[in-house]
Amino acid sequence: MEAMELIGVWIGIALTLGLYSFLYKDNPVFKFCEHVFVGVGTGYMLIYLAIEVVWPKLLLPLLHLFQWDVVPWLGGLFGKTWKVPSTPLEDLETWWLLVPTFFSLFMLVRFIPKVVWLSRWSFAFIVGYTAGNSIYASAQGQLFPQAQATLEPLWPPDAAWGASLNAVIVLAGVLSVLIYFFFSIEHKGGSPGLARSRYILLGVGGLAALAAIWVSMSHPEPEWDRARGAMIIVSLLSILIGFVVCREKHGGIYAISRLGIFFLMIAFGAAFGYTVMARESLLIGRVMELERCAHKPAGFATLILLPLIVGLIAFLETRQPKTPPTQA
Amino acid sequence: MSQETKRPIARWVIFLLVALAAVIPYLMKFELPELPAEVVDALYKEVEALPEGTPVLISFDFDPGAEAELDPMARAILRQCFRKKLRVINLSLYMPQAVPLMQGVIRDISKEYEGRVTKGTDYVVVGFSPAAQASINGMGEDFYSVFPRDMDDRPLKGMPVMKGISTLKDFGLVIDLAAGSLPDYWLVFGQSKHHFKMGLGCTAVMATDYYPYLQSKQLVGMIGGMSAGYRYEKLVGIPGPAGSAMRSLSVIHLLIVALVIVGNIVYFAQRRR
Amino acid sequence: MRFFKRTIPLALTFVIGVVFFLQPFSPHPFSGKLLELFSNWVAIVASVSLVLGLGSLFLVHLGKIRKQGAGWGYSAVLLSCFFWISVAGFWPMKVDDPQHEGQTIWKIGGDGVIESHYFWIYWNVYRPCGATMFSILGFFIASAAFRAFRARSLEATLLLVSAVIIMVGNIPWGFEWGGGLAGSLKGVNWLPDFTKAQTLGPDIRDWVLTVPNMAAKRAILFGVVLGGIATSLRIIFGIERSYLGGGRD
Repeated sequence: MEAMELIGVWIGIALTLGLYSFLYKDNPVFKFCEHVFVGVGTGYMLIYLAIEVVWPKLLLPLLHLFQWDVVPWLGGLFGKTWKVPSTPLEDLETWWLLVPTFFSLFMLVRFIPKVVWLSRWSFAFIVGYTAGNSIYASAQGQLFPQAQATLEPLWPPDAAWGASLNAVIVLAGVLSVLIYFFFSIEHKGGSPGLARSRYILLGVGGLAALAAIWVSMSHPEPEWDRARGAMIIVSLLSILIGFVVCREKHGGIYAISRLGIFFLMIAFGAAFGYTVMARESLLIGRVMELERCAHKPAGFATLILLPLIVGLIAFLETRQPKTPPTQA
Repeated sequence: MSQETKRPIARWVIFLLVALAAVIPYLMKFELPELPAEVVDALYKEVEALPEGTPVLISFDFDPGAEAELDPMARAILRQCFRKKLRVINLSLYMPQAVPLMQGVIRDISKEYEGRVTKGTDYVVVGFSPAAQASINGMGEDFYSVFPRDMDDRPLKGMPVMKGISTLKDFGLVIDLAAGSLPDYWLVFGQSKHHFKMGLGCTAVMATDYYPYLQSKQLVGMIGGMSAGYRYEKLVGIPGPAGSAMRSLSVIHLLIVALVIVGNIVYFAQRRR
Repeated sequence: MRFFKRTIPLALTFVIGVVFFLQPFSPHPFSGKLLELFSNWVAIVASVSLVLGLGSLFLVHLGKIRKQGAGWGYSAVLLSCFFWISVAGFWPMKVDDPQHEGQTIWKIGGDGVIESHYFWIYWNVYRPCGATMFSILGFFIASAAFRAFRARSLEATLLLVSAVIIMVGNIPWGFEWGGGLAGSLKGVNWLPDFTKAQTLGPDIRDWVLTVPNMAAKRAILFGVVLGGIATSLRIIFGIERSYLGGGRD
């Protein structure tokens, strides 16, 4: 192994063992390694974003646009070539880059207390785009395909009755958990008129949702997309407005909510089982690395550094001031 | 540090048992039986069914904190894609920390297939783009607006590996190797809008969340965690890191089940007293 | 002044939100172009916001060193490492030109130069630390399983049994035992025939994952999506304003 490679391996193993010292307790060696990690991670991310995203996508095209001749030398050093506009349209697109430029500058003035309010424009820009774009996308990509997938297997013509039983269990699980989420909390206030209009809205929303699902199943052609989209919007708005308040807890709903809790506990148990596998996999990954570096090519790094780190922690422990016993 | 922040003795015993369960089976090198998983087999069969030259997009969306789980499946998928002479386009939308991991996997596997795959013709690494929602939306309209060049700064348009690709619709399969919430963005802003086939490789922590998408056929298959990665390696037929790790993982799982049972026995015995 | 501090940002959110809410319904090619344009702009501004966040971290630790607060030494370590990798990222080096064989060009380390000190620090400092941080939980999860996993109630017992089924089913030996158990039940006439099921796999682990787990996760997904849509609508209509942050109105 080359010298720099060997030094790198030793640094990696030392940091690994230093971080594992947390198993003993929080100690200066762990804190040191933790701060090294954060410092290096922050620096890495900042440099990468500056060089690979901000410079080629924003600054370089703008500098070219303003024809600053000093930049070809800099551009060559940074390894990024000019994007030479070949048509007037491309030039227009580059001028449009002034929009994110200004929003980026407004973001950066967050450090200046007098004009910190300018950063609100940048956040409004990002959040408006994200919020607007995600409404229809999440309804189309998550809500309706999942509702369709819950109902569709209930009446397949050729499946065994075991499959139908599983589909009924899934439907019961989905409904009971949703009832637990939305209807198991006691509601204070409201009026009979409000309750009536809530049921009407939920009914309208449900019918529109079923209509959208029927259109998806019977008319999947793209020509029906807009009609399906309109039904999705109507059902969404009705269900959302109808779900503003929750019903009172009573016998029937409570029993169904309990069933919902049982399904949730099974899901959380499954999640725990998988989480165990995830965490142990990461541990085994590090064990494999430590074992690999315990051999001669790595200079027996693990075998030498392990007692050194343990000794260092023991030494620092003896240097800690002992807390006096508390008086009764 | 005061005395009370030190760990109690019982916890030390558990830590030691876990450490031994991780180390000893790894050193013993015994064989394990098969571990079938239909969701994993489904993804493997989907890739196998792709004709030669089909463009496949692989999104490397994991950092070193998930490398142990996702690196083995990434290597197995890439080996299968290179064996089948598929065109592989690699990118990352998660965070910059994923890029060197992506480059490392591609460098190692392309070396194994040296002479059989060529950068620019059979595979390309296009780099990183932030803001996953915006990037996926942008790629859905025009791929080159988000990634005009590859990581060697060569223009992507006109490269043989990118032939016939202008938007996400043009990919035969998109595989997301993810440690965060990226699959949700791919599904919502990518798959549901542009109707491409999508597979998922993810950490075990996330795996249970994506079964609804498997049943609704929005995902064609899923490799969830190291045990699934082990299955995929077996299907591809080339041993990898997951095979070595499964020995320790199996013993640790049994240890934790034993700890749960023992803990409950102790609890009920104490309650009876 | 309130017009610039409050009205303009809220109006901007409303206008952009409504435009992109309606964008999928427009068949005109301009709507696709608008989405592409805004998507690239948002990606750029989002990068700068990440840079801002990282810069804030930098300033917090700089302040700690200046005031010599508790643990300022660690902040000095953090900032030293930050400068170390930053200098490495901007260090110029002569490398082979990937586009012209036999030629060399000057590049800075952070510009994708794998042999640079910048990436050396990533592989030998950041990567071991990142991998180790999450692996520590492997020990604590075992300890938590022993101390906290108790079958105190029916719900807790269900959670426990489900976790054990998954943990045992995720290992090769466990799959054999579970498959054997499910297989032995196939002969009993009044139980569903799992092998013909549309859900995946004959063993108990797969049934738990594809039926009850999937049902609960789907319901959670519905709740999250409905909540997300409600929040998006509240943001667009200016009811929810916490995202604006900084400064007074």
